[in-house]
Amino acid sequence: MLDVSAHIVRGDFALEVSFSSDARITCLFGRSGAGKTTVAEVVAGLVRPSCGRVMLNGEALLDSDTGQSVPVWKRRIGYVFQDARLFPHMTVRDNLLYGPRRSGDPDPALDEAVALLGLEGLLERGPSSLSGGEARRVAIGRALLSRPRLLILDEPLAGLDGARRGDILPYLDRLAREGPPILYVSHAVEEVARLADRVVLVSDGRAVGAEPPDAAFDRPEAEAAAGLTAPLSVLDGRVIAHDPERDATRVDLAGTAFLAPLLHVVPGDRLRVVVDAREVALALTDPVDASFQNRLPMEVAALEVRSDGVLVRLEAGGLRMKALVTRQASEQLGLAPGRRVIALVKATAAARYA
Amino acid sequence: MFSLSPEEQQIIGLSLKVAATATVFSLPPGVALAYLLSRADFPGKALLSGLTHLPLILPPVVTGYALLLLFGRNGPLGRLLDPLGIVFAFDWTGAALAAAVMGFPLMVRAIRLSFDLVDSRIERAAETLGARPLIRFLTITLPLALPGVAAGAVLGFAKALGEFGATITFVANIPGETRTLPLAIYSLIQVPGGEAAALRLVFISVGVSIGALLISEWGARAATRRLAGMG
Repeated sequence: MLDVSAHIVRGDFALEVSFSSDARITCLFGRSGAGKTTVAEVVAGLVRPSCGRVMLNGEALLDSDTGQSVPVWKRRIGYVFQDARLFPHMTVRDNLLYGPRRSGDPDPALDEAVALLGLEGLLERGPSSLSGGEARRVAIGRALLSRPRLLILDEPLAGLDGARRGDILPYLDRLAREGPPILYVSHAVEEVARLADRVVLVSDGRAVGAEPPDAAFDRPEAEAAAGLTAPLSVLDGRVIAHDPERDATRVDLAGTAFLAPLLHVVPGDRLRVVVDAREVALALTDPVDASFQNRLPMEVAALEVRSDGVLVRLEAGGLRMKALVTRQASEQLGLAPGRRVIALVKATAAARYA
Repeated sequence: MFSLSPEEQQIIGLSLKVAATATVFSLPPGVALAYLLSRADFPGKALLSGLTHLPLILPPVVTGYALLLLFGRNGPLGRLLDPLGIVFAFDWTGAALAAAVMGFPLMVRAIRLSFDLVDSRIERAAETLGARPLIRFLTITLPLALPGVAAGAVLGFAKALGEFGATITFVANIPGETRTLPLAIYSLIQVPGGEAAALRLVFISVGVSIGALLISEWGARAATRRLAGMG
């Protein structure tokens, strides 16, 4: 359980922080320069706020009321910096074992970390000979081996090209399942949508409240803050079965069957599907001869008129989805709360995030 | 062939002993002070930095005289240390003290620069992994600054080997006790007919200096290689 409330002033930059989360992965999400890293640094103890309180699992790491502040090296919070910061005078192995040696850990889980992060063959190398992706993985392993109570990942994918991202993402997925709780700093919608259990939106000098990603992306400031071009629906589901002949995977989204592009996941696994609201069409009757693979009977819950159209909030059982249509389309269909419609989503429009 | 007289051997031996002692004893406080000046922020930092550099700016005779006033038999510090069996006045240890004081600013300056170059973000990373300040310094900062520390030590040693003004003022020019190479050369030049012997010592001095330089160069390169090999 991480509990932060702080007022941070740095030069002419002020940030009001207040959130608490016991999620496996909490994302600090916002534009570059919004102060996400500063919030993470306050948690780790690298930056001291003007006033505030940081609690981890019930222990006060910082309390400006009592003047208490646990020094960085005693906090047991792993920090993976954006620039890896490996020790240049040590091999990868010595980098990895730095934390265990400090704490006198007699049995560091070196082999597990090496296997988890795919570091075989790198152990005797020097940091300067590593690629960007390799260095990040070593940095993650190094933080992990210090047995942190919380792991902070600061933009672990930033600055890496597509292939290198692909290198790291599977490891992050495994880390999310097997590792300590994570505070994940990112400005990238896809990463947050894929990984976050809770999102703290950092925007306009505020970082208040940890919410489920769907709710966080729903806030008006999220779009401006994060370069979201349209509202997103973030849907949690479970894999039902694969259909290799049709290159598709059948997913259960809160009781509704949904067809997504073929995914390399095991049936039964949890899965997250993200749908851009612009990719959702609406019909009053089921167009059986159309190419839409997903034709979901839903009910209009609410309408919001925006500058770029009408945002239609849809519900079916536990499933909530958003559709962005033009005002003209909304009028033609006579959309109103309570109206039953068919939501049409192409399977290919569903971005997959495991 | 060029062979050394017993007297010359004794002068060289004394010079090396004085310079080595000065370097060994001034290195730890030099490293500490350099780190303080590089990393810490405290009131009076500029003053401390200025004081450290004072021997570099003052005429060596003034420094030597100040040492004489402080550490002479009747000086406040001399009297304090005398019961402990530590005597500097007119002793080779005094020559080492004078050499250390004169070389200290050069040493601190070089080491401080190398600390400045160590990326403090890497030190922060060590902290997040559980390294308390002293351990962080010993495992990260010092190894990364080692080439600079070695260079500082060499500068201090070289300065100690050539120190003249402060030494002769503080501990005089006593054969076998405080007469180091520069003082011996100076003495020979003062005596009629001593030029030939002085010239021999000049050549020896050049040889010793070049030798010390080569050894230190090799040491610095070995240290750098070790760091590069580890990193």
